[in-house]
Amino acid sequence: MARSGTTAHLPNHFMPGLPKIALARLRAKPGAPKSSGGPEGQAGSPSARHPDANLLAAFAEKTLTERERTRVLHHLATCADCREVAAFALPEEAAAAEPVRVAAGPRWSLSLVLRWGAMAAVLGTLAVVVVLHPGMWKGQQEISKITPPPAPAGYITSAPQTVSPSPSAPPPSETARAMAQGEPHASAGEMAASQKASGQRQDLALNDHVARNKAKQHVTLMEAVSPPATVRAENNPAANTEREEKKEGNALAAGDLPGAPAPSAPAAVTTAASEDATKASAGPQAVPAMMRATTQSVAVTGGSAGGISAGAAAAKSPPPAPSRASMRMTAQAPMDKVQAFRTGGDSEAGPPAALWSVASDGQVQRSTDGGKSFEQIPVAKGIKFHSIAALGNDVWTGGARGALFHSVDGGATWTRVALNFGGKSETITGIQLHDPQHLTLTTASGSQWVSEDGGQHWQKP
Amino acid sequence: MSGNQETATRPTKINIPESLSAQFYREAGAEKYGLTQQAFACVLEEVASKYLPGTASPSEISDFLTHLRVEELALARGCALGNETAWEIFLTRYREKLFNAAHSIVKGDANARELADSLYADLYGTRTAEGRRISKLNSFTGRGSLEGWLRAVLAQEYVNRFRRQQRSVSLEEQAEAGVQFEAEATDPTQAIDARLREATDQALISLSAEDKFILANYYLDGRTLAEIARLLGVHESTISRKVEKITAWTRKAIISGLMKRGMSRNEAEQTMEVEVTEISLDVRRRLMQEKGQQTVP
Repeated sequence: MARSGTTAHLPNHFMPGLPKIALARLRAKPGAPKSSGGPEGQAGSPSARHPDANLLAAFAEKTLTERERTRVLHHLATCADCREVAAFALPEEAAAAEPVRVAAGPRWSLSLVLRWGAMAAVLGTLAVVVVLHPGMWKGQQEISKITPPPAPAGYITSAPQTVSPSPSAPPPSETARAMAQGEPHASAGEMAASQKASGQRQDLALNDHVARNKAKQHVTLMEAVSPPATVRAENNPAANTEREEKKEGNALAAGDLPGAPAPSAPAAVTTAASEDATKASAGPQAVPAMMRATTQSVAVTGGSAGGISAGAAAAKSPPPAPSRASMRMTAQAPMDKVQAFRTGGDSEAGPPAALWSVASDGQVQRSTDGGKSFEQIPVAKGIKFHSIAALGNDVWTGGARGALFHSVDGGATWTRVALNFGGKSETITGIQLHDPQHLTLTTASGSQWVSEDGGQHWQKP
Repeated sequence: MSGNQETATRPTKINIPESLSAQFYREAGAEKYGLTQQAFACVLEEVASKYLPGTASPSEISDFLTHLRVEELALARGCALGNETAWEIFLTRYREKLFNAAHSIVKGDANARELADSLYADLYGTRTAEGRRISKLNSFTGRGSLEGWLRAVLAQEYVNRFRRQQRSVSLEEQAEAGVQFEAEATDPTQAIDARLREATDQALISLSAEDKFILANYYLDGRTLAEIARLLGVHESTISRKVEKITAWTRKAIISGLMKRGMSRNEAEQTMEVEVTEISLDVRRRLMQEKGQQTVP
């Protein structure tokens, strides 16, 4: 199996390939079938012992000792399956960066040296031009964006109305232009001084403009960057990984690509259980909003059919306390606003969309302040929920014994959806809400059920 | 390593000082994953014993542990114990990554989900033995990242289960389609010259493990220079030069070996380029044998 790569293979005319006999002998080296049952993935015979997933992952991440690496390489040279596993185990992010091997020093080819040298020469030339003609280049470039302050009387402005300098040619001097235009001008010294002053003013204005833009971007990024990662020792790679993963998790949860500015994420959460749940629940589609793979294997008793609203169920139990009374029934932002919010859109678009999660005790929670605090939302008594998905006011939550509840009013009331997984009652561990009509459920056994009519009918995909 | 038999020996138990294990316990935040300090110390000792010799010095042990992904190790072991908090965090961090990894291995949403879900049960541990959950996460040792380990386990699952099925099916389909495999060569003149085989084997044995790895990836697996470079952590141009160099050296070594065995240079060069139908038969025979082994439970 060969993955796509930036450079395919060596041109054949440069050298003859490996003789067929060598290829055949290389291929014919012993490589016993891998055992699939054991967690280590090792075959029985010591001579055909396959490196386990730990070693292969460490090999892909270049964290093996030299001795271990050599041993793994010896095996990989003769085992196509393990080579394939090692290739699959490579982290995806490595594709974006040039791999660097610590042991071997970089070897620079002549072409690279020449290329960098040429680039340095061009940059040096540009720098000389800029130094010799300060402000002029920038003035002409940025004049359309910035309104220069009025020049003192008697001095010319450096506002070229029609000149658009070419990248290679130095910009014409202002003096020459002014003279060509026949504008009244002061003495050379005064003109030089005025040019310098106006150039400096324009530079300052430009710098100010640029700085303001940068500050604005920085603020936007700061607002979007996730919050409070658990801080561990700086030299612990796990801490860095966790921080990166949290940022990435926020970005991914909101549908952005890694590396792109992360969308607004909850700045702080009150409960430990909600912290990671918050990240998981961000996203209008909530894919998967909060998916609990665990599933507690509950005794299978068919779920009762019919619609049991949360209101009815809640009526039998004392209402939860102050959280409900203090609950702010903010109008759920419509889909497009939610999208804008998730992708770091203008904060003036509206209040933050509700964030939903399932706590470790199976209770459904909602935050209406961007994740700063969560409140329990009563759905049904005695049911431990494992998964939740929301799209605006449309909220679905599933849990043990096939329990599936739906709310169309942002959690104010709930309706139980009858499910019959082919006669079995399974725990719902995942919900994907593609749109109000299309849902996908995942059960503890790994089965999937799809509905295309808002949950009225379900079938296997 | 090739040709050498490794005797299976029980790893010598490594004892880790309590102060050191306490330090890593704190660093890993193992408490929130439901692990006691003693339990985590046992985990560290188990991992150290697996990879370090019994004669490892305290500084070597400390250095080894420092390079472990202790937080992910604690998370994995917490999940293996069924700790809810650990699972919450594991799902949040890795469920999507698991699916994405499956997707990169197997094209197609349905296949990717099937692959990811097939691993899920093993990770969670649906089977128990002596009242203890058997979770694959217990085998994670923290040598690499948990994400990398999950990718490797997924890939192993894919190679073990899915590829073997495809390979066996394709052979059956070929047989049904009337493809006849070449009969075993009985004419000795068609057999590969033993001198050629010996000279080739000698040349290949002389190569370093990395060189053979490069050749195998490039010529047998068809990987690109960039992919091989990623695997080895070097620049692509380095691999380009190495492939040229190793190939040229191997050719020279085979010719030299043949000349030592009595052939002239011209004879050696011609012999080296012989078609290897016999070796092709060996490969097919091996595939058939593997197919036959799959039916054995």
